[in-house]
Amino acid sequence: MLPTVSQMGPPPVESPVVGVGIGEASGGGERIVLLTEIETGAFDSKKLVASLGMEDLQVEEIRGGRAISTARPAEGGESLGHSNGDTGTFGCLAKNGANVSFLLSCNHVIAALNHGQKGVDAVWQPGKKDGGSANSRIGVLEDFAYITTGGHTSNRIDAALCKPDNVGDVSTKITSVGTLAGAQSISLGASVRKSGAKTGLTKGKVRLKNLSLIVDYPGNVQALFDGQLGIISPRSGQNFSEQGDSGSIVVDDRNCAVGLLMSCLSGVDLTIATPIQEVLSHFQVTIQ
Amino acid sequence: MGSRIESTRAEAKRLFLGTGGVVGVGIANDTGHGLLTFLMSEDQQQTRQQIESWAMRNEVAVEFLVTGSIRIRDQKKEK
Repeated sequence: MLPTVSQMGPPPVESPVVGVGIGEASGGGERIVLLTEIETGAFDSKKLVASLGMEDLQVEEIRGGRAISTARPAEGGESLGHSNGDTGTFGCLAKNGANVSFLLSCNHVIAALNHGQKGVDAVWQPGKKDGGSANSRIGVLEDFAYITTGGHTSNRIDAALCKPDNVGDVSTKITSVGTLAGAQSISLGASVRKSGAKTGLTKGKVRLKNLSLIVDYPGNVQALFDGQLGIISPRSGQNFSEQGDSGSIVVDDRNCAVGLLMSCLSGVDLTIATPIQEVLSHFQVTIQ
Repeated sequence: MGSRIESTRAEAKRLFLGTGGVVGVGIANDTGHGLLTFLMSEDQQQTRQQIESWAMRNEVAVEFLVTGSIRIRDQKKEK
């Protein structure tokens, strides 16, 4: 008699298990099938069933990566990318004065770092690194803010817009956050959240404001950004974001958009986000 | 108070950003005399001392975060 899935209990926090099911065992009967995101020596399925007192239970591990939604309508917080393979996060929907909707993300996610062709380049949801393909096309690159390199000329935003092929394919909701209540500025010390394609929903705190920083790009080029926010996780040992969360919308306690996540540092828990008003005013759009 | 720390930050940016391993400068506290945070690609003692001397003269508190280089896109993971 197999234990029910609920008897298996939730996996440990650091577990790579992203799914649990029941399959056919060799020699008849049934076995537990665990879907895992990554291979890790820290997780041992045999120890897991042994800890439940079920040493005789057959367990199979299938490493298939993280489950990525390809459902429509796509929500903010889900994977998005350029057809060249760059992958990040679909932040939220924004609309212009003519009520046309756009997906908001980063230049380096959907505009090929200044090399994207407006009105031509396809945008995929999910992005290629999350399993997307030409069949995942959700729209076309509409516009992006050019990033001036050299390290001396000030940039304010790393942002881009995608026009959806079908407005019914996109939702105003953000996964685990809900619908946005407009846009707002944010103060030092304020609590924030974001929903990203890589790390999902995380909580943070505004640690720095009016941050000027020099960013390295592939090919040994640098760009200076001014007026940024620095965000940290309130939980020691955790990061507010990771690579793949670029393009996420940062929200405050009232679900107002306050920032567009543009970078996370790999060595420390510090995420760089652009004040959302800078982004909205550049493209002359509002949060939808 | 806000305008003073803003102008001090602007001066710090002009003097130190892009030199001696300083890759970022921002405001961590905008009350009182204020607190400026310097992001460092590596811990360079000489740069710290220069900034600390400057901070004493300008009556502003400073802190240092060794962050490494700041990359928009991880060039190894490319994600």
